[in-house]
Amino acid sequence: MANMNTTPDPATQAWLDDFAAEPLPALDRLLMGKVWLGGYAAAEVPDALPQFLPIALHDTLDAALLDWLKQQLQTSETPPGVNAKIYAQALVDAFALLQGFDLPQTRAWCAEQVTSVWAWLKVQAAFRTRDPRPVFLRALALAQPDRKLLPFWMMLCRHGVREEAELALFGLRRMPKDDQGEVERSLPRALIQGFLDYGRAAARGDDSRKKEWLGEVDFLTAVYPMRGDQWASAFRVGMARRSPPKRLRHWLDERYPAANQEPPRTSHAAPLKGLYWDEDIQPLLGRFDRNPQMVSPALRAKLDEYRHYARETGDSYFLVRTFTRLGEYLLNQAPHTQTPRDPEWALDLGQEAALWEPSNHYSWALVARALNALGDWTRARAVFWYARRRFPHNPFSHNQLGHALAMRGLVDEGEAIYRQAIRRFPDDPVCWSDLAHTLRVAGRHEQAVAVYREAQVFFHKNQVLACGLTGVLIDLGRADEARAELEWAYQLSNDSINDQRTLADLRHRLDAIEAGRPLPWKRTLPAEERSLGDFSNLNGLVGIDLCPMPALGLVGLWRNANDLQRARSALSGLARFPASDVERGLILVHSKGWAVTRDFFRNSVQRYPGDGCTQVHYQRARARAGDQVDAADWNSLRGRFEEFAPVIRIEQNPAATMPAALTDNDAEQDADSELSVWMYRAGASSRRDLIEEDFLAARQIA
Amino acid sequence: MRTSRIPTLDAYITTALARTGLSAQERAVIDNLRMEERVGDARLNRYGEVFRGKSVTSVDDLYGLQRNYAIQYLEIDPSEADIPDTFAPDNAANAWHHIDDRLYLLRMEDVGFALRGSKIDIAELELAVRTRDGAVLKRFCDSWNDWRDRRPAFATTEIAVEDILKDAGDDWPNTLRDFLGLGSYNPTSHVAPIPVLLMRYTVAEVLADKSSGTPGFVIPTVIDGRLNPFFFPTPHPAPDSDAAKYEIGRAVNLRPVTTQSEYRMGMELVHSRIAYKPEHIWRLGRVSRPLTGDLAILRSLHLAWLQLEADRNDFGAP
Repeated sequence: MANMNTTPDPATQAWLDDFAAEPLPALDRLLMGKVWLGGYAAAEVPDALPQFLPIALHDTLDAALLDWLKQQLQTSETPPGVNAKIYAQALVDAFALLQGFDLPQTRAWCAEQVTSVWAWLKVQAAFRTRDPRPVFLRALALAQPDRKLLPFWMMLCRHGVREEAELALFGLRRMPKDDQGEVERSLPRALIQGFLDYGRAAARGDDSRKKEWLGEVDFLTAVYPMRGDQWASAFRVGMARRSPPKRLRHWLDERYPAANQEPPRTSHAAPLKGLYWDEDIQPLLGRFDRNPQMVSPALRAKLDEYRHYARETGDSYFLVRTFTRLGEYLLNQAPHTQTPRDPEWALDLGQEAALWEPSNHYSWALVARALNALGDWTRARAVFWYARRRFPHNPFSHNQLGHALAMRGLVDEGEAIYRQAIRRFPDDPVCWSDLAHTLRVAGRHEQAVAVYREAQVFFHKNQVLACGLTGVLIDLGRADEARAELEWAYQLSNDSINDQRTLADLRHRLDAIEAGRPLPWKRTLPAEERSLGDFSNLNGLVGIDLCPMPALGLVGLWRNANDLQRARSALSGLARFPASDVERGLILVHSKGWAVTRDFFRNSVQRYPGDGCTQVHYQRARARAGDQVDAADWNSLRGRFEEFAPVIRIEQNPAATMPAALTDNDAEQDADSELSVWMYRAGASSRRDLIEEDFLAARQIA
Repeated sequence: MRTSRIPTLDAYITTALARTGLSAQERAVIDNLRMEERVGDARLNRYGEVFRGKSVTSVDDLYGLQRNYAIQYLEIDPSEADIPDTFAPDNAANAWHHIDDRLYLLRMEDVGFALRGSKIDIAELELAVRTRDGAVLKRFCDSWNDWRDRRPAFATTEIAVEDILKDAGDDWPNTLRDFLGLGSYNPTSHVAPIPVLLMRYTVAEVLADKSSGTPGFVIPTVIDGRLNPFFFPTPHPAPDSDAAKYEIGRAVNLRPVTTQSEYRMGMELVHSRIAYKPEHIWRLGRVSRPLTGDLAILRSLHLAWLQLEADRNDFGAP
C-alpha cells in the first residue's frame, strides 16, 4: 500500500484531475459538498485545499471562483435541491478560499462589485455559525491594494451593526496608506473617523452599547500602543469638524477625557484644512453665471479639497452635503440662458455623493434630476422610482417622481403617485400643492383648481395653496376668482421678502391678464425611452439592478389604487426575484384573500430563505389569514432579521413604543432611523398596512 | 453498524468491496461503517433518513450524504433548539461519565478556521499568544466563538499526551497530529505549514458550559463527524472476559511504524461545545510535515490492539 504522502491521496488526485479539466463544475461540486477529499475529508474545504492544490493551479482557482461567484449572483434563489444551511456553508467556504489564497482576479472583482455582492449576500440565508457576510468582509479587508473600499467601510461603520462595524474597522486598519499600496505604519485617520461614526450609531438613545464601544477602544489601544495623550489628540482631531453627540463624548471620557478638552498649547497636531460652504464655495458661485469658464476650475479645485479631506479622514459628511448642494445649483437654470447650468457636472457630483453615502436621499434626488435634465429618461425614471422605494418616508421622493412623470406626459401615473403620497402624509400640505402645481404645469388647469380647492378644505389657512390657486385661476383667465383668492393670500401672508415677492408677481400677472396678455404655459416632454449610458455604474452604487424599478413601482402603485388590471400588466413584464414575488403575493390579497396569499409567501420563503422581507410578509399573511402566530414566531424572526424590528414589533403590538435610539434628539439620525420612526408613528393609524409594505420594500433594497 | 437497514448504503458497500483497486482511504471509511457497533437503532434511523430517495454510487455520494447528516444533526447552531445527535438521550450508551473533572483536556484547532470571521490577522494572533495579550485574545475568542457551532469536539486528555508533548518540544504540532490521528492536517511539500492552536481547558469547564445545551462526554462513533478515513470505531468489550470494563475512544496513531510492538494507540473522546476563553489558548504552532505512514498498515496494527484490549477477536472481521 502506498504511503500517505509521496503519492497523492487518490480521492484528492481525482478531484485535481477534474478541476484541471473542468474547473468550474469541479469547484462547484467541491463547494456544494459533493466531493470526498479522502484524507482531507474531515477538514473544511478552505482548510483542506491550501494543503494540496499545486501552485500551478492557483490561477485556475482564481478564474473558477470568480466564475462561480458570478454565477451565484445571477439569482437570489438557493440552488434547486440544496438545503439553505449547506448553501450558506458553500458561500462561507467560497469567501474563505479568498482569504486563504492569493486570488487577485476574484478579489478585484469583489472589491469592484462590493455594493452588489453585499446587497446580494444580505438576502442569502445565513446562520449564526454559517454566515458568509463576515467572511466576505474579512476577505476584502485582508488584501487591499488601494483605498477604494474606504466609502464601503465607512458606510458599515455609520450603519453601526456591531459585527459589520468591527470588520469594517478591521478593513480600515488593513487599508494601505495610499492608492499605490504603501503600507500604513501609523494610526490611520480614517480609522478614528470610522470609529467615531460607529460610536455615533451605537450611542443613539441610551448607554446600552457603551461597553461594546469601549471594548473596541480597548482593543484598538492594544493594537496601536501609544501614549494616552496621543490617543486623546487623535480623537480630538477626529471630532474637531463634526462634534459627536454628548453621550459619545461621555463614553470617551471614561478612557481619554483629554480628548474632550482644549488641546495643550504645545500640540503639534496639524488638522486637515477646514472646509466651509460659505467661505469656500458661495463666493465662487456669486461669480459663476458671469464667467463659468473662469470660475469652474477654481470650483473644481475646491471640490478636490473636499475629496482629499474625505479620502484622508473617511469623513464624507461635508463632501456629500456640499456636492449635493452644488449639484442643485448646477441643475438650476442660469438667469440669462434659461437652461440648466451644467447637468453633466451635477450628475457626476450626485453619483460621487451617492458612492460615499448611498443612504442619503439628496444624492439620489440629484442623480435622478440630473439624468432627467440630460434627457436620459430611461435611467432617470429608474432612479426616481428607486428613490421612492428606498426613501418612502420622505414626501419629496414621491412628489418629485410624480412631477417627473407628469412632465413626461404620464399625468395619470404622476397624479396617482401624488394621491398615494397624500394617503401616506395626510398632514403634509406640500403633497397637495405639488400635485396641483404639477397638474397646472401639465396643462390640466381645471383639475389643478379642483385639487387646490380640495386641499383648502384641510389646510384652509395655507398661503402656498392660496397663491397656487390664484396662479392657476389667472392661467384660466378667471380674473374675479383669482382676485378673491389673491386677497385671501394677502391675508395669510407674513412680511417675508419671498412672500411679498410672490404676491407681487401674482398681482402683476393678474393685471397683465386683465390687460389681455396671458403668460405662456410650460410644455411637457415625451416619455420616450432614451438612455445616454447603461445601468452598470448606477447598479454598482445601489448594489441591485435598477432596470425593473419602474415596473416594480407601478405594480405597487396600481395595486394600492385597486387597479389590479394595470398592476398585473406591469407585473407581467417582471422576472421572478424577491421584490417582484412580494408584489405577486400582495396582488393576491385583493383577488384571492389572505389564505392564498399566505400559501404563496410560504413558497416564496422556500425560494428565498435569506430574504427578511419575504419572511416578514409570510408571517403577516399568516396572521391575517387567521393562523396562530405567537410571540415566539415573531421573536425568532426578529432574531434573524433585526432590521425589520419595527414592523415585527408593530405586528405584535400596534402601539409599540419607539426605542430610545430613535427619539434621541442629540443623536444624528440617518435615513434608516427616519424610516423606522415613520413606521412606529403609523403603527396605530389606518395607514399602518400601507406603510408597513413601504417599510418592508425599502428595507429589502437598503 | 447495521448498514443493511439503509439499502442504498449497503448496496454501495457491497459494490465497492467487490471493486479492485479500492484505495486505502475508501476502504477505511467502508470498514469503519461496517465495524461500528455503537450506533443505536434510533440514531441509525435518523442517519438513514438522509439516504432516503438518494442513490449512493460513489464515495462522493456517501460523503455528501454523511455531510448532510452532520450539518443537519450535529453541527447545530447555539441559537437552534436542537441538540447534536451525539449528546442526545438515544446515544446515552456511549456517554462517558467517569472522567475526573479536574483534568485538563487538549484539542488542536486550525487557525485558518478560527480566524475566518475574525477582526485580527494571524500575525496579531501570534503576537498576542506570545505576549498573552488579554484584550486581543479576548476579542479573538469572542468572534471565534460566534463561529463555532455545537458539533462534537474531538479531544484528548493532557495526561494522555504529556510525555509525548514533553519529548516533542517544538515539534509538538506534528507529533500531536500523528498521535491523535488528525490526518487532515497534511501539508504537501510545496505549501506553507498549517498554523494550529492547542487549546487546554478542564473537564469541569466543559460540564459547566451551558452554551452546549447538554454538556457531556461521549465515546466517538463513525457518524459523529464527516466521513474520515483516519477515524476508527471502538468496540464494546467482550461481555464475559477480563477486558477493561471502562471503555474509551481510541485514535489511530499516524506515526509511521510497521510492527505491533512499535504501535501505540491514541486516546480520544468527544465532548460538548465549550466557549473558548483567552486562557484556553495554550500554544500556537505549525504542522509542517506531511504524513508518511502507511494507512492500511497502521489501521491493521490499530485493529489488532483494539481486539486485544477489548478481547474481541471478532471485531473487524471481514
